[in-house]
Parts: sequence; C-alpha cells; structure tokens
Amino acid sequence: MAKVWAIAFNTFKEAVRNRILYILLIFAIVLLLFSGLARELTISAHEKIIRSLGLGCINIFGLLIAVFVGIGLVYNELDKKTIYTIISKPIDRWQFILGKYFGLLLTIYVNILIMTLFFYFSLYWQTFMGSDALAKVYAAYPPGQAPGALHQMGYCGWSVLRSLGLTLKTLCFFPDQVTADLQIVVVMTCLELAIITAFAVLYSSFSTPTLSAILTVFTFVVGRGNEDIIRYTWYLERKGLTSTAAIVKYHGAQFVAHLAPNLKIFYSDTCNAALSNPPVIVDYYAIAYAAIYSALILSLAVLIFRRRNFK
Amino acid sequence: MAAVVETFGLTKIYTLDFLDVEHGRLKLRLGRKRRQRVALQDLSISVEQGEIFGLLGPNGAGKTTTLKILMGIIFPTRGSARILGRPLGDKWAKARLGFLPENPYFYDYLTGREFLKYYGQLYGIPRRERERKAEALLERVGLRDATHLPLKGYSKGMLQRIGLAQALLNNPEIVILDEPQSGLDPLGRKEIRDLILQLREEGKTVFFSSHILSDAELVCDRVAILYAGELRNIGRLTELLSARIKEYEIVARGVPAAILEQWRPRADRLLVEKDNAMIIVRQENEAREILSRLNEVGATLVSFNPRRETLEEYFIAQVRGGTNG
Amino acid sequence: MARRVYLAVFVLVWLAVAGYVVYRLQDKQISKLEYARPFRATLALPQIVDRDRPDSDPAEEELPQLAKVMALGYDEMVASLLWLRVIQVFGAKLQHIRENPLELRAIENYFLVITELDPRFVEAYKFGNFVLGDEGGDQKAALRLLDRGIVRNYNRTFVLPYEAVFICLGSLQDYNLARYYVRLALRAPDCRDYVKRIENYIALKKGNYEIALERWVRDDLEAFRNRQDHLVEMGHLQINNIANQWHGSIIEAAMERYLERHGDYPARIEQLEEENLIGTVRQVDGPRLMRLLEGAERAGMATNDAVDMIMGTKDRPGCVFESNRLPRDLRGEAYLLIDEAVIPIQQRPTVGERLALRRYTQGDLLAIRRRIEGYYKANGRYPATLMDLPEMQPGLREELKHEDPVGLPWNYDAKTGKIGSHVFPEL
Repeated sequence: MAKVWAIAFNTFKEAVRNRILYILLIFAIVLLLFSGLARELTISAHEKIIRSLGLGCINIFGLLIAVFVGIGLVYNELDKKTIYTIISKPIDRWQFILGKYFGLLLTIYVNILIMTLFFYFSLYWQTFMGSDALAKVYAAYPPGQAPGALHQMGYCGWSVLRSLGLTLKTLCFFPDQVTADLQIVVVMTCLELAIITAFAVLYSSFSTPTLSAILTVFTFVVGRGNEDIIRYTWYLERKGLTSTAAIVKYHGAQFVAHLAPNLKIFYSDTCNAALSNPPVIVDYYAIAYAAIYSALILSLAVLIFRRRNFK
Repeated sequence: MAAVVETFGLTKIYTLDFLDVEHGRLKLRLGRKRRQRVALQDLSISVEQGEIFGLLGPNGAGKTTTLKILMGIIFPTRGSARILGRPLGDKWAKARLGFLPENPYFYDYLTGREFLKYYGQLYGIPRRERERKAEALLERVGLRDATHLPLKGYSKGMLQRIGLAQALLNNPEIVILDEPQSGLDPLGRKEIRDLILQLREEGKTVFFSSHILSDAELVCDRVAILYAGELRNIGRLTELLSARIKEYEIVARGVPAAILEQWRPRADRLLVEKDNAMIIVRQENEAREILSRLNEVGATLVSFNPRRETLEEYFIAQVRGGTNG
Repeated sequence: MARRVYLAVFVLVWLAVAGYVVYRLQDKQISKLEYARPFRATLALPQIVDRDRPDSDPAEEELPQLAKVMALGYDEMVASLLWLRVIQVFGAKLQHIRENPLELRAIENYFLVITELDPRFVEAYKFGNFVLGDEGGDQKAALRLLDRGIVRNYNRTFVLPYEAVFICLGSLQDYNLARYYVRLALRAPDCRDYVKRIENYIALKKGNYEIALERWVRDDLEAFRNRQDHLVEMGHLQINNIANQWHGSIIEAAMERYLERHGDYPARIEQLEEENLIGTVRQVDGPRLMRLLEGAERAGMATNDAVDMIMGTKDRPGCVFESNRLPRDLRGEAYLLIDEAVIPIQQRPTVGERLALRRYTQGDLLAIRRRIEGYYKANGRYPATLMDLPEMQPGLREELKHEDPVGLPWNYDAKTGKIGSHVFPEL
C-alpha cells in the first residue's frame, strides 16, 4: 500500500533524527571494533568470545533502539498534534499504525545492517591481521627481515578491501568459513525485534512513553523467560497444587506463558546452535511464528487505535 | 442546493477522572453527573454547497470539538453527521476535504516542499502531479522563497500559510478551517479573508470556526452561534441581524456649542472634538430633525450613518440572553 | 451498515484464528521443552535446599540455574563476559585460593555459572580443572567440574575425560576410575592415539604386568608398521620398564619371605633361589622376547599373529613362562642386590662409554677416599654413612658425588671404611 509506505518512510526519516540513535550506534560500533581486544584478554577460545559478544551487542542494541524510538512513536504524534492533519486525509487509522510500525522496523533493520557490517568487517579484518596470515606474509622474506613500510601499508589496504568484499558477500547470504552461521543469527534477531517492535507500537498507541518503555521491557523479559515460566509451572505441579496460592500461581503462570511470545527460539537458540552446536538449521516454524504473532499484536494495536479519541 | 455537511444531534460528553487536579487543587468528583463535561450538546446544523459558513462562539463553546468530530479526530457520544452525503470517516469524502487545524503543528524537519509532497502521497496523488501542485500552492500562499527552509524555522504566519497550502492540496470541494485567523496580524487576517472569498469564487464551500466576529461578519453567508456546547442560533447573516436600524450617527462641523447643548439630552451620545461633533440618536424623527436644523445653524454635514446591528452586538445579546434565561 | 458487520465479523474471525494458531504453536514449543533438562526451583528462591534431595549442595544447583534465568537468553554473551572476568579474578587471587577455601568456592561458582550458561565451552572446564585442582589444591572439586563437562559434552571431545584420567592417577590413585575415564576418552571422535597408551600405563600401575606387556608389544609392532620411530623407541623403553618392574616385584616378594624366615635380608641375591623362596611365578624370558620381537618386526607379520607368537597361545608358548628360578633382565643378566634394592644391570653403561665412566669413577673414588682418610684422622673412626662427611652436605660447593657416574649408590662399608663401585668393583 503506497500510503503505508509513505508514512513508513516519513517515520524512518523522523526516527533517524533521534539523537539517541547515534549514541547507541556509535557505542555499538566501538564495542564491535574493540571486540578484537578480547583476543588479548582471554587465554583461549577467543573466536567464540568475539562472536558471542558481537552477536549479543547487535541484539541488545537493536532492542534498545526498538524501545527508545518505539515508545514515543505514536505518543509524540498525538502529543504534538501532528496527527490532526494526517487523520483528516483519506487514510485509514490502521494504515497509519502499520506505517509507523514499518517505519520503525526499517530504522531498526538499517541500524542492524550497519552494526552487522562492522561486525563482519572486524571478523574478517582479524583473520587477515591474525598471526597465521601475517606469518605467511613474513615467510616471503628471509628470516630476520621484515616487510618494508610500503608492503605493510599495501597489505593493510588490500586487507581492508578484501574484508569489505567478504563482508558484502556475507551480507548477501554467501557466508565465508569465518562467519559460517552468523547471518542466520542476525536474521533471527531481526525477527525477534519485529515482535518486540509490534509490542512497542501497541503500547505506544495507548500510553505515555515511560509506561510504554516499562511495558515493552517487561514483555521482553517475560518473552525471554517464557520457557522458564513453563518449567516453573511443572515444578508447581510436581510439588502438588494444594494451597490456593499454588493454584493461583500455576494458572497465572500458565496464562502469562501462553500469552507472551516465546522469544528464546529466535536469537537465543540460534546463537547457541551457531556458537556451540553447529550446524544451524533454519527454523521456518519460527519465521511463521514471528509473522503471525506480530500481525496479531498489530491487529490489537489497530483495534485500540481505531476508537481512540485524540486530545 | 445540496447540503454538503450535515450534523444530526451531535453530542460529545467527556467523562472526567474520579480524582483529578484542577486549578492546582485536588478535586474529587462523585456521582455521574459531576464527572461528565458536556462539550457539545445536540448540535444539528447543515452547510449548503458553495457558501461560506461560520461557526462562531467564545472559547470553549465547542467549535473545535465539532470540527474534530467532523474530521474523525474524536468520536461523538451521540448523534451522527454526514459529509457530502457520506458518513463520518468515509475516505471518499475525506478525499474531497481540506482541513486546517488551530495552531497547526507539522513535522519540524521537513522542508515546505517535502512536506507538501508527503501529504500529496497521503492523498494518493501521483508523483508528477504532486510536484506540480506543491509548486503551485507554495506560490499561491506566498511561500516561494522559503521552500527549502525546514518547517522548524517558520514563523506563525508562515505555518498558517503552509497549513492552508496542505488543505488545498487535493483541490477539495469543502475547505474546513479551525480558527484560521488566530494569532495573525491584521495583514494576515486580511489575507485570510481574501483567500476565503477567493475560494468561494472557485466554487468551494468554506466552513470555518472563529471567535473574531468582525471578520466573520465580513465574509460569511451563514453563521451558527455556539455557546457552552449549545447552538444558540443559526441562519443567514442578513436574516439574523435585524434590518432595523439601531441608531443614527451624524457627524457635523461647525455646530455652535449652544445648539449642541440643546441636543445633548435627546441624543444617545454626543462627542465633540474641536470643530466636529458626533451625535448619535435612536429615533428616526430625531435624526431627521437634527439634519434639518444643521442647515439652519450654518453647520456642515460631514457624514450621516444609519447603523444596523453588528454581529458582535447580536452575539452578545444572544449569549447574555442565554445565560439569563 | 452491512460493511460494518462484515468488518466486525472478519476481525473477530481473524483474531480467533490467529490467537488459536499462536496458542498451538506455543504448545508445540512447550512439548519440545519436556525433553530438555529438568529445571530446579530457581524461581522459588526462599527454598534454598530442595527437599527432595536434602544432601544437595545449594550453590552447585541454585546459583547456576539462577544465572541462566537472569541471563535472559544472552547465555553465550554472559558466559563470555564471565569467562573474561574469571581469568582476571584468578590472576588477582592467585595466592589466596590455596589458603582460603571461601575464595576457592567463589571461583568454583564462577565456573559453575559459566558452564551452566554455555555447556559446550570446553576451555572453561579445562581451565577450571587447572584452577581448582592444580592451583587450588581441591582435586575433588576439579573432578566434579570435569564430570559436569563430560556429561554435557558426552562423546564430543576426548579432552575432558583425558584430564580426569590424570586426576585419578595422580591425587586419587584410583586406577579403576582412571580406566573408566580412558574408555570414555577413547569413544570421542577426536581422540588422539596416545590416549590408548594410557591404559598400558594403568595396567602397569595396577600390577597387571602381563597385560601391560602385551599392550606395549602390540603398540610397538603397530608403531613399527607405521614407521613411527619415536614410538618404537618408546615401546622398547616401556617393555624394558615393564619387565624390570615385573621381575622386581617378584624378587621383592621373595625378599619379604626371606625376611620372615631369617629375620634379615639376604646378602646375595642367589640365596633367594637357593632357598626356593621365589615360588612358581610367571616371568618373562627376556632374550627370547627381544628376539621374537625383532623377528616379528623384520618379518612384517600381521600384528595379531605376532602378538600371539610373542605372548604365546595355549598351543604354543611365548616368552612368558612359569618357573621358580630367579628372574633375569631383558638381556638375560642377573639383577643386582644393592642395599636391599634390586637394581637391573641394564643401567650399566655399554662398552663404548665404559672406559670414560671408568675414569670418572676412579677420580670420584679417589676424592672420596681422601675425604674418608681425613675424617678418620680428625675423628678417629670411619663415618657411619657417607653423608656424615661434611663435604657431602648439599648446598656446599659439591666436590663429592653422592652417586657413581652411572647413577648407582656407592658401595660403602662403614666398618672398614672401604668404598667401591657396583659397576666397576675392581676399582
């Protein structure tokens, strides 16, 4: 729908001006580039540490962007009354909400793309600057002699170009050995953030930014802990549901666990598989789950928004 | 003439909170009646095609509420309305509307041109036509020099103008304006008046709300007067304002002071400034007498102005009548 | 109006369908959970000790589970950060963990949490074993950690059972357990070939000499076949070692019997055979073993056949036989009895070195004799042991050697003050 895209693109332009975005982005990029430092701090297993830190960073900062930008999304429109002229146009309210959602999603995905770019670049860069690769360069010279300054600079420049090329190749889903399963983890992160963004839009459509932030973070925590809540209900069952407190807890926990999304199947399980239990299998069921759940939450947001009186 | 905008018993009642802070003091509202604030009570008006209709009333009368309900920003508690024969919220009707809210606030970071093109997208206008219209409208409202300036740097007058531009983007049949003259200087107000008249020339219907009665008097065909959410009166200006002449205003020069003192008790008001004297009388025969006496006493008539009731006077009378009875 | 009704119906149907689909998908995920690890009562925090298992250590179960819940799905990242942290903590508290058991528990908690968050983090178990066992001194805790790792990485890596083997052999001295871990290690796909030779060592330590011998013979032949010269060399050394230990144990058992009978150890080793104290024991015919081994190597026989030939089958005897004679070393020479210790003569040098060593021994003996004379002149008697000589004390500028150049102790007679060498008795 062209109108949805118009609002989405406008939301993207507006979100991009939000200064907090740049702070988060710079922070994330610094963190990613310095992940190479992890090699010096750990005695072994540095590949795993660099990868887990990088992937975790991308996920956390994506989440922070979703929360910080998403909470004010609808509220600012209503507060500043910019929505008056929008609503008076021949556009449905659901188109507006959907436009806001996709605009925010676009913002988040662009940021994740940039972070992932830096992440892959730093990974490839480390392979070219690692001791094995450098040993090969030095091997061309007789022992005791080091390559000249020109050769060093040339090698650095060539490594930068090659890293960039490999990064772009990986982003197009042709991964190298170094970044074998990481792209799938990033895609799963994007799916998870689609759900969280839907929640952020939902909360933003009826409450203030602060409350939206709290609710969204709370939803995220419950979503990530969904499996543990289920296990907790099993524990209560094993103990026996004798007292009313236990029964209330049991049913309450079951209700919450079924209501909230299970977010562990996206980033958590995929990251675990990528770093510890290769190979990673693409979970199509998770993709369908994300799509349907986001659609459900957005429908709720649209329903709430439809009959809302603006001040 | 078909009615382009009709409302049928439009009512809007706000439900306030139990516990609230009002005027800096905590207020507890018990009972259903106390918690309700009636913004609009049973409004039934209709606007004919091609006319300029003014919705008048003091602040808090419910004018903005009416317009918001018509535009779909808030929903009525009771009653309904039709625009161009379609119910509220109909997109076909909205495509033929142009709306300018009070104190418009638009996206800061867009430039004038970008802003109009974005709204053109929302109307569904194809791209080439969008750009053409944006240019034309910017020219029309006189913002050609500021097209590349972001809206953040616009003054109030400029914002009002770009607001008008976005209201006219789709060449609407009905233009709805909420307090279009608020906060403008006299020059701006004149421009708005001229624009409204221009729009009527183009065959559009203009429905606006205002509390500046003098300006409304100059342009409106029909008015509706709102007070405290209720419709006081509605009709053509000429019908509402009585044709009866209220008073006669005579300005003469060179009237001897003695004669003036003679006339003073009979006149409503008497103002003297140097040589000129302004005499205001109620009755026609009194006026006729004074006029005839002027020649006798050797004074010159400067002006003779029979004044009819102004809208402002009518309005105040209506309002006072309402509060009293 | 009808459109509104349709819209309402559509929305309701859509919500119902989507809600139902989501509910079913949730249930499917929950059913997958049932095959996952059991969850202990982390969220019921006041119950520190689970009543089902009152002897469970709370920290071992609670804290890692709590950390897993608190990690909110960022398990690997938190594990990596804690890993970096524990390296720093270990470096800072290096001296304290041995002295203060609480510090050790604290570091152990770190490892428990890291491994709970990322069970496949093999280096964490290895480093934990190092910190807790070698540095902290608590080998049992290290073994517990390695067990955790073995369970969570079952049949994935040989490294963790391999480390456990050394704990069992070293501090616990539990050879059966060591063998269990070796078997575990052997099952892993990335197992190295030196791991299976640990079983030979364990067999030897347990006293199963024949088994150890057979294993090493087999490994030696395999190494020869694969042209692994260093392994062939090691094989020969180990076979030599096994034979000496085997025969040494036989002779020492006989000496104990002599002690019981006579109240003192024999003066000559032949007395054991003369008094028939050896008993009918299995022993190795050294020279025959070496001949058969060499022959099998050269002939390039199949390994199983070669082992059968060397070790013997029930039809044809190999190099192991039963006898009550005094066992001899692999060269067929008798063992030396020196001060109640049985020394194999193979430790004597070969001919080439003999002359040089003879010269060194002569010089050492001369120096010691001079010192003994000096002592005699100073104190009027000969020193009771060689260590009484002041020049023998460690720390001083060592002029005198405690042992002869071969490594055997000196043959010193305190009564006569005469000192000689076992290797060159003529000096």
